[in-house]
Amino acid sequence: MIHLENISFTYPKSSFSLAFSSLKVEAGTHVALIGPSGSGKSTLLNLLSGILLPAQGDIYIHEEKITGKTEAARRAFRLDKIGMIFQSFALLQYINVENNIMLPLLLDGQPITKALKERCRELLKSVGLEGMESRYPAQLSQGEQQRVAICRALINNPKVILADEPTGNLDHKNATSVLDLMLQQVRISGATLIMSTHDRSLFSKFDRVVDINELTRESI
Amino acid sequence: MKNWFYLASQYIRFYKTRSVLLLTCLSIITCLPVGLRTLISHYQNELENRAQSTPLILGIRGHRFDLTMSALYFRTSLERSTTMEELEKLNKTGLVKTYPMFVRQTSNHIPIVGTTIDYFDFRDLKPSSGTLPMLLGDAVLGARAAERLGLDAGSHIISDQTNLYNLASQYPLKMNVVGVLQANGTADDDAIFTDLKTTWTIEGLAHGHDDLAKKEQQQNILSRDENNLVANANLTPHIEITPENIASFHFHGNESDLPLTSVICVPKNLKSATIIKARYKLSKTAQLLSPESVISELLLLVFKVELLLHSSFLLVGAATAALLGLIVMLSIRLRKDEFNMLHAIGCSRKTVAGIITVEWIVIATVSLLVSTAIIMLVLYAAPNIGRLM
Ligand SMILES: Nc1ncnc2c1ncn2[C@@H]1O[C@H](COP(=O)(O)OP(=O)(O)OP(=O)(O)O)[C@@H](O)[C@H]1O
Ligand SMILES: [Mg+2]
Repeated sequence: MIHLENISFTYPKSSFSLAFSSLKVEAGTHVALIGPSGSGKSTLLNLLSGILLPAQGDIYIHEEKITGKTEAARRAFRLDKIGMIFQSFALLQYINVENNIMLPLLLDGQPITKALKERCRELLKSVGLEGMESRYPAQLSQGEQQRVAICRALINNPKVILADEPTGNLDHKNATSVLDLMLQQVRISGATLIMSTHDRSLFSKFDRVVDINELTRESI
Repeated sequence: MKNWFYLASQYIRFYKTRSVLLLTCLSIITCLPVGLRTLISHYQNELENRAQSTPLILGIRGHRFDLTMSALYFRTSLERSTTMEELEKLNKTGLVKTYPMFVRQTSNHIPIVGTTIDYFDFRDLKPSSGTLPMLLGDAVLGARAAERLGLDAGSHIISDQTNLYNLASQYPLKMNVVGVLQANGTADDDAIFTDLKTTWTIEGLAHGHDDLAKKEQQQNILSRDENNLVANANLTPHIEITPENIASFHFHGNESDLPLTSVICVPKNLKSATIIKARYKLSKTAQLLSPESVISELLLLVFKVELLLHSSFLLVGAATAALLGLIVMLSIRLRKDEFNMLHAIGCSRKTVAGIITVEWIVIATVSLLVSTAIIMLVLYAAPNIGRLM
């Protein structure tokens, strides 16, 4: 279970503020985070991942209190326990697909074992990129690159996946297929998914839709 | 740490052009001042050693540097010369041991040094093959000269023609290579040694009256009068000294007028050194030099130029350091998206800094290795570079 309580956040030198009394997400659910541009979707995801720290309130991810951790500890937690997917600049251009997928492990100083390579191979196969381990990102289409990014988010078997408009740069057909692949993988791993999106046609694919405007209005 | 190195090396490998350019720039920057310093100190040592091993030199009054370079390094550019008469005067004092030299001609652009057999003792030069030059027309090659010419004892060399357009002036002399000297790491390795008389013969001061009169060469002579032979243009005529004609070679005029470019003098002791130096201070015709002081004068000049160079290197170095800082800054800014992504997935600051640092350490280390290799190569080639200069 993911639990946020009495959150209040403001950026320095900015009038924007995000405040709400409570948000609970059951483990294993798939949540779409919606709201107009500038409403604070990315901000909320960054609070969940520990990139940002709220001025007030507590955030628990599966019993771990994120808000009580130091910056370094939040990074370590993120690297190990959370799968992150972004809208753009997903991959490093100078390492191949396999190493891009292994990146969280490489950055953690972990050795790349045979079992990990096998897992990487299976993940690639499941997103329809079988045998593309040694390609470089520049040799893939945008949709294919985003599918590699999904594999990277999944390599550690994280219990939480945070995705900030992962299909935002893709055309509708590609967006649907990438999302389907992502949901399929998340379902297999049993992880909780929180994904921000603008695309109304995708809402039906989620267990729950959270409108960030409603969330903050309730708490006033 | 291992993974930092892996990621850094992947980056260096992927952006090859950038890496090679950076590497080249860094190598050149480190190479230039260090290489120049090493090269200069190499030459400085060489010059000083040679000067210290040559106590005094006598020559005609005038250019101190020309005389020193002629006596020590066999530069053939010293046009004016002293005479055998001066040598006689010097010997009569009984204060010094003398080694006369005549250095003006070349063979294959290698200087021909006319001297006496004592010179080899003085420089501790021993033949590695063959013998020392004993007869008129004998030549012995310095070690590197022999290597360059690919010749050994038993072969021949021909002196270079000084004036190609005046065939009547003097024919080149064909000399017998009777030996090759052991290398001693000085200018002696790059010279050809003969007897004084041989160089005078090349100079046209000695004649053998049947020079070109050999039967098999008759057809090459177009005309002949009292003083000149005119040779057919399609052969390179030369004088050759043979057992049959050696006796016929003789000098015209007074022997005391025969030229010497320099005389190396070794004083018997400190007292005789002082006396002889004082005596030649007043001479109108000759000068007695201490090569050591001439060379230190020269080095002072070199040092001043070097100082100038180094201060400019310092400025260039400071500008380069600033530019390098800018390059590092820009390349980090260029990778801002990448680092943001790494932070976002939870990579620690230490790891990001580590990857960048390792990348620059690798580039700096490789450049240092490259420039060290270049400097070693330059030092190895230094004697050959010196010969070109
Ligand atoms: N680093 C920052 N410093 C100051 N203000 C910021 C910063 N990042 C975002 N903001 C502001 O916070 C507000 C919310 O931004 P946020 O990125 O969370 O919106 P979003 O819902 O993700 O929008 P979009 O759908 O366009 O991605 C915006 O008004 C923005 O101007
Ligand atoms: Mg956003």
